[in-house]
Amino acid sequence: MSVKLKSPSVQRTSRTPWRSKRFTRTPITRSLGSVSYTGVSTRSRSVRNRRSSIERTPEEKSFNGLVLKTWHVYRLSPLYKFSHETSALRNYSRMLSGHLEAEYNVGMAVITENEKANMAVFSIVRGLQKSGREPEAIQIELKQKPIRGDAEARTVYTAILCCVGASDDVLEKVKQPFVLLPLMLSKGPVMLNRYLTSWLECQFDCSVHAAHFSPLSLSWMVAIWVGSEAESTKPVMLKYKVPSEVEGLDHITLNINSKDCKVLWDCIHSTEDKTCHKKEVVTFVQALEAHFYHHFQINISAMPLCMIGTPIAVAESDGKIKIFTPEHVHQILGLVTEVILETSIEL
Amino acid sequence: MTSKAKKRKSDGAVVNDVTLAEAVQYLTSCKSRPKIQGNVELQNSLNKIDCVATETGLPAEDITTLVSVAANGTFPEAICSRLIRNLIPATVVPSEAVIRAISWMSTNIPSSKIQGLLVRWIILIYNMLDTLNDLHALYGVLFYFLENEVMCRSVCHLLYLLTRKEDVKLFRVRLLVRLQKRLVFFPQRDRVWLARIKAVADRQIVEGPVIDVTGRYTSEQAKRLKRDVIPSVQSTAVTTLSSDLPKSFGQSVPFSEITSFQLLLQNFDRLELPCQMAAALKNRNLQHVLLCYPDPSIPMRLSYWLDHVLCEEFLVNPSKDPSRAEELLQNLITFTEFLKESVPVCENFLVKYLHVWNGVDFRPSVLKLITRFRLHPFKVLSDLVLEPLRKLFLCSSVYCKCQLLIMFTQLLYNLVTVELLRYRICCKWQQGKNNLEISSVDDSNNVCVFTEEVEEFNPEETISQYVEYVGNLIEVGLLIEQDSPLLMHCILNFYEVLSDLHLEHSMMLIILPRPSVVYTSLFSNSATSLSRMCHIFCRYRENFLSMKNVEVTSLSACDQQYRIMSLKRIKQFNMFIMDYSNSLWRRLAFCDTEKRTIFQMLSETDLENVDSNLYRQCFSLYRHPALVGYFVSYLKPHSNGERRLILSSFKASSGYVKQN
Repeated sequence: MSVKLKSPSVQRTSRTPWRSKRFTRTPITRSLGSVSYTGVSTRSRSVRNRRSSIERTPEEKSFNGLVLKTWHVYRLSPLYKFSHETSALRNYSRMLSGHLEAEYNVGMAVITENEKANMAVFSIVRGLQKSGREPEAIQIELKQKPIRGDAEARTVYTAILCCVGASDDVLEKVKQPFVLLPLMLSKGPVMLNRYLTSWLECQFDCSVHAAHFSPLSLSWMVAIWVGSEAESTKPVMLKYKVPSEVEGLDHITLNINSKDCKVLWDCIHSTEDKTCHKKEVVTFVQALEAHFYHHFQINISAMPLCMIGTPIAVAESDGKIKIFTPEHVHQILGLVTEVILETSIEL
Repeated sequence: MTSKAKKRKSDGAVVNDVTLAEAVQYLTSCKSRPKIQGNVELQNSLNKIDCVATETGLPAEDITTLVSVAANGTFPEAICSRLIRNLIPATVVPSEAVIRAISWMSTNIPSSKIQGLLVRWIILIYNMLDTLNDLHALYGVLFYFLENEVMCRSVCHLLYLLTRKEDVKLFRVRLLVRLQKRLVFFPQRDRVWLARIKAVADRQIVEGPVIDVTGRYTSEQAKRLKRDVIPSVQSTAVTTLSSDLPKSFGQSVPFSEITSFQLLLQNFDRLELPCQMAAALKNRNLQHVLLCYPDPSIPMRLSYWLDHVLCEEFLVNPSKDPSRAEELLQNLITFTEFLKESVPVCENFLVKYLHVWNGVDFRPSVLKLITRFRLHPFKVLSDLVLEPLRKLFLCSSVYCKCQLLIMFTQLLYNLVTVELLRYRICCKWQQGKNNLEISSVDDSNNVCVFTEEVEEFNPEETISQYVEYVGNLIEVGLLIEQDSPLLMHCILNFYEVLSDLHLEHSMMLIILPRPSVVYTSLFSNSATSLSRMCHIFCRYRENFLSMKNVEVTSLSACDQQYRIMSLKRIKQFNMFIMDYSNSLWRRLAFCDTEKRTIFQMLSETDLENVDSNLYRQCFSLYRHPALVGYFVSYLKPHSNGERRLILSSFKASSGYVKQN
């Protein structure tokens, strides 16, 4: 597929529908936006003024709830007539609770106690966005409230709908009454996830599918995340899936000291450069693979990359991620959002 | 049965002096309530069956027989249950056996314990049935067995395996919901029994038909299959809460209640649209609404949904079972055919898909969708769509080439009939909108449901370049396929559409066919090619004549230019005509007349050796190889046996035919 260099600084004046949509698919550069949302952004001043009522306190910006948990990533099409207003959110909570109850009444023959939720709570996660133009993230918690007694409700399922670092082009395309929240992180029983998914699909006329990360996307992740500063000494891990013809071996895992990796990455990528190039990513991964070949005589690049681990996060090809450090949440989710939006045709 | 049994007797292993055939024979011949205690023959037969079943499994016909034996109440319960537990198939279980089991169960002759055992047996051998359709036909009957306390759980399990979308009916759901309060999920019972069946199947796997004992689909695939690709029409609170209709209209009508066009018309002013717009892909009434509803967000909802689902089904996570994807494409085709308009997101998807396409999957559907493409600048069209198709064309079979040519013809037809007009109106509307900048211009342009910004370009240019592109492919295709008649047929179809651009579609554009096609038809062995090409010439002539008489002043500058360009082609066209009439009528093929012919096949030196009269006449009307058959049948009634006349006419042509 023909690729045109996508430079974020160029403002398109006359939009040519074909070109804007079809030539910029597989990116060859990505910006290394490691800055988290600070509330001050030049391009969003006018929007921010409108939202001046929203206060951002420091504790809102820490995302401890997001880290050290394995999340399943889902991709969502734009939500139709979704509203961030408090009354609307309360309404959604009520409706989803009703929906869950209805599902239990009709539903499957077996539901273990852990999977039963009778209460849904919608809330806004402040600050989980890169610019004020992006809609605010929404957290949906499904809770189990004991029928008798006033014991506290226990959260059995959590989902976070967010949009972190979508390009201006994309944001411009999705107009009212649609709201762009392309990324859903979900954690909890599959059954509840299915109920929530079907409810979202019906309620906001959207479509929810599990995300898959291609080997190339995983390469981007490992390169960019290795490059970011982290105190942790967790090794960098590359896991390759062995073809099923080979008996007795499922995966080959390659663990490398993260410090060494960082040194290697700094040799390839100059620290002043704020954009990361595809060429650099490919060189980086090829270097690691060549190293492996040198020691084991196995041409590992012939196998698909199925999981990567870095000091700041882990990602799997079937759409699972785990974040280790709260300060990198924006960077990680930003890249995941970008990867997910790329699979879409229209956006 | 008996003859088969005797045959097997000769080579069957003998245990306790009884063969399997004899054992089965004995059991079937037993009268009601035989003596059990001390009945050596019965014990021997049972032992033999036991032995064979565990070792190699029972052949299909014996299973059918033994099912009847076990279920008809001849033997006491203990023996029947032993028999059923030994119904281990060697290869497959004929559905006949299962049907017999169910029919015996319906008679109530076997006890409920035996009935329950039979159902459990059906569950175990479910994946080894030769066909599921017969069993599925008894779905309704099976459902009644739910009333039986003993069997209820097993029947539930069986129904779970059998249920298809069309079986889900409200009354059944109600009954099951009632049952569900009493029951828990069906656990995996009969482990030992299943292990025995599997052990035999594993041993048999080397020979015989391969049976997938583990199940036809993995659970994830099965789950996906049970869900429809396209959502059904249903309403939720979101539409009712934020209904745009004023209250005075009264109660709104949910779209799920609109079952006919009549109802749609009656309730048009108070419709409550379904919560998932994608339902429009399958619902004709909703498509009518889509066509005339002013709300621009409705097509957007459909677009976003399509974007996601097409990506999921074809690019990101293609399902192993192509029927879902095919269903989606088929619905999309019906939808676009109804709208007479392509969905932009579908175009974008095709562009993406064409670059990773293997050229085989869903070919007819993919090509059909391409025929509805909108007008784009030729550069764009070429880069994104035509280039991958060109590659496919050049390296595919003649059949695929024909499919592609049919697609090219339909695309041309669509471009000149629908898309050209749509493009002009869209342009005008867009200009009006840009100039006024306010909403005095209609928000929708009423020529397309899916409004897209259009680029300014010359549509005639796109079409003429497109024809040029197809012309190139045609020339190469004819060479590769050595003038295949099938391909020629498709090529002539294309030129039939092309010849009428001016008269039929009032374009100021006439593009001539490629000389290679013209002369391939002239020298072909097929009368159809020749006569169709002549017909195409007649159409061209009409078009040229009509174009000449057009009032020039009424045309735009651009059209005038195209008119002049088209009229310039008359000279070449006349040459074609001259060659045709020289060859066919005037017996002067390959002749240099004052109007020079386009083709010159033979050099002067070659011509010296040939009888000039012969080669000049060989493509005349009565000697043309394609027309010889007609010529003969014309002469026959008149010839009165004068064969010489016919033979002399053949002389020239037969040489040509041989060379071919």
